[in-house]
Amino acid sequence: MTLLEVKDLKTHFFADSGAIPAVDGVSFSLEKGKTLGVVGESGCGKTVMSLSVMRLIAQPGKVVSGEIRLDGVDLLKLSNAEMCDLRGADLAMIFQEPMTSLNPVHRVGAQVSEAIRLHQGLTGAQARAKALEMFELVGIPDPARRMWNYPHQLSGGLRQRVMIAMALSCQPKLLIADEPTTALDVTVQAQILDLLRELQRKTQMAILLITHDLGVVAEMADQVSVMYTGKVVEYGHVFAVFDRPLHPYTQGLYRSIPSIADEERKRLHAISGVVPNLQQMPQGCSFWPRCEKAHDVCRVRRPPLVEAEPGHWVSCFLYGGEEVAASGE
Amino acid sequence: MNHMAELSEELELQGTTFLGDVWTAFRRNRLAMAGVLLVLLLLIVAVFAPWIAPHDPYKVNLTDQFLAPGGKYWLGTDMYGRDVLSRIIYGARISLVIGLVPTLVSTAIGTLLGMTAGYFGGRTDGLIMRLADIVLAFPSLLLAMVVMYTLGASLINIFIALSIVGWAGMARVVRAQTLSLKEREFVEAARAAGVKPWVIMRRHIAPNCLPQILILMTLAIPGAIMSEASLSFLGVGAAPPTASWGLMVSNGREYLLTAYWNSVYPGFAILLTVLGFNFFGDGLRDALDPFLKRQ
Repeated sequence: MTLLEVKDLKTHFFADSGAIPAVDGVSFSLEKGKTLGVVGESGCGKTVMSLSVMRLIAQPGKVVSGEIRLDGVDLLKLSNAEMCDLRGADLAMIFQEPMTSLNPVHRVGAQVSEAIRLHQGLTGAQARAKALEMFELVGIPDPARRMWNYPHQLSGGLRQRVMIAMALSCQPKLLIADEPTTALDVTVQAQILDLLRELQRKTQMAILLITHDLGVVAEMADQVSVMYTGKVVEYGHVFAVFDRPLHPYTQGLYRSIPSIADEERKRLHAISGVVPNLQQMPQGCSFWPRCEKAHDVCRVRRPPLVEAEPGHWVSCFLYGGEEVAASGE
Repeated sequence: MNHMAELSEELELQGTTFLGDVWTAFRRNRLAMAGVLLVLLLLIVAVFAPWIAPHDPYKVNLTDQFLAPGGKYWLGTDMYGRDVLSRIIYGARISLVIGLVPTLVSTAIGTLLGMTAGYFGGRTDGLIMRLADIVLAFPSLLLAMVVMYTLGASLINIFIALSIVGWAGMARVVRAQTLSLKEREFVEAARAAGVKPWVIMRRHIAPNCLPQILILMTLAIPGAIMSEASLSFLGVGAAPPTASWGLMVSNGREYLLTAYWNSVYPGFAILLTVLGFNFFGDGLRDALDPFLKRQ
C-alpha cells in the first residue's frame, strides 16, 4: 500500500541572481512499513527535498510545483494550520544534530511531553506518563531520572534517542530521518539504526532515510533513490541498485568506497570534477561534464527516468530513452 | 514539593547548576556585590520607609525652615521646614517604582514586538522595526518631555512616557536574538513537531533570550530613575509635593549656595542608586557572558 507519493516535486530558492533549482523534478513512492534511502553528496537536494515534504521550506525558498500525497491527500494543498496539525502527528522528523535539536533550557522529559500534549490532547500528568513510556521504548536507561535532565547532561546517542522518542510519540505514519546517525560514532550509530528498525517493525511506519552513507542505506533501506543536483538519477530496490548500479554517477560512488579487501595501497577512486553550480547548470544531463561515458546527446538533452529493468529506474541515455546507440559509438 | 525534588535531583546529577555557576562568577566581582548591596539597601529603605524615617516627609514646619544638617534634622530641612532625610527615604519608594514599572512594561512590549518581528520577518518585521527606529531617532528625554507636556505631570504619566521611550531598544535586542535562534535546529525540530508559532516563541525563543533581557533590564532601571529625576528637575515630572529625588534637587537649586543640603543629598541618593544598579547590571553581564558566548 502506497503511503507517500511524490510526483515531479520542484523546490526553488529565489536569490537576487535568479532562481536556484535545489530540487528539480523528484518523484518517488514509499510504502507503509518500508524504508526509502535517499543518497547523494552534500548539496544534491536531499535535505531540501525532505523539508519540502514537511512543508518547512522557508523564504526565499518555495515549492514551485509537484504533488506530495500522504495517504492520498496532497500536502501542498493543505492550509498552514492543517499542515501544522499533521506535523508531529502523521509526519515526524529527526535531525542530523542531536546536540542542537533539543532546546537547551528545557528538561528533555518536558520537551517530549510537550509534543505529546500538543497532538494527543492529554493532560500534563498523562503526557508525562506517555513520555516515560516512550523513553523506555527507545531504550534510555533509567528513564524516570533521565526525564529530569537537561540536554547538555546527555550524550549524543541519548539525545538522538530522545529525539526519536519525541518523533515517535504520536505514532507517525511517516518518519523522515535526515542523516540521523551522521553526528554519532559508529557503535552508537549501529544502536540507533537497530532501534529505528525495531520500532519500524512494531509500528509499521514508513521511513524516509536521508543519508550520504551508503553503508547505512544498505543496512536499512528497501528502496534507494540516488540524487544528483536536485534530480533522481537512479531509483530501485536496494539489492538491484547495489548489485548492478546503472548510472555512471552511482557506479562512481561505489568505486569511491575504500575496501578493506584491497591488499595493495591503491589510490582511492574519485569522481573527477566538481558538482556544477545549480545556477549555471550545463545543458542536457547535469552529470555529463564529470561522466566517463558521456555522449553527444548527453550535452544537449536531459535524459528521462526510464525503467531499465523491472523496478529499477535510471536517468541515463545508456539505457534507452533516446536512440543512444545510433548517436554513440 | 515537586520543585524541591527537582532541585535535589539536579544537584545529585550534575553538582553545579546554571544559576549556581552564574552566582559563583558574580560573587567574585566586588563591584557587582557592592551594587547588589546598594540595591538591597534601596529596597529595604523603600519598603520600611515609615519605620525608618525620623519625621513626616510632608509635614510643613515654617519655624524650622532651612535648618542646617545636624541636631534634630540630620540632613537639614528645606524651605518649608520639611526633613530632608525623611523625604529622601520616602523618595526611595518613588524612585524604585519609577525604576521598575516602566522597565517591566517596556520589557514586556519590547520582547513581544521584537520576537514577533524577528520570527515572522517580512512586512511585520519592517513595520515594527521602523516604528522602533522612529522612537530611537528622537532624543529619549525630549520624547518623554513631549509626552509629559501632552499628558500632564503625574506618576502614571511618567510610567507611560518612559514605557513609550524604552521599548524600542529592547525590541531591537530581542529581534536580533530571535533571528539567530529561529535558525537553530531545536526551533526547526519544534516546527517539524507541529508546534504553533506563538508556542514556539513562548517556549523556545523567549527563555533563550532571557539572559540578554535580564541584563538590559538591570541597565534600564537606572536609566528610568535618571529620566524621572531629569523630568522632575525640568518641572514636567512628579508633581509637588511628592517626595521625588528629582523634584527635590530641582526645588533646592535656588538655594544651592545658602542651603546646599536641599539639592546635594537627594542628588547623592540618585547617584548611589544609579551606580548600584549599573554595577549590578555590569556584574550580571560579566557573569552571564560565558553562557552567552557558549550559545
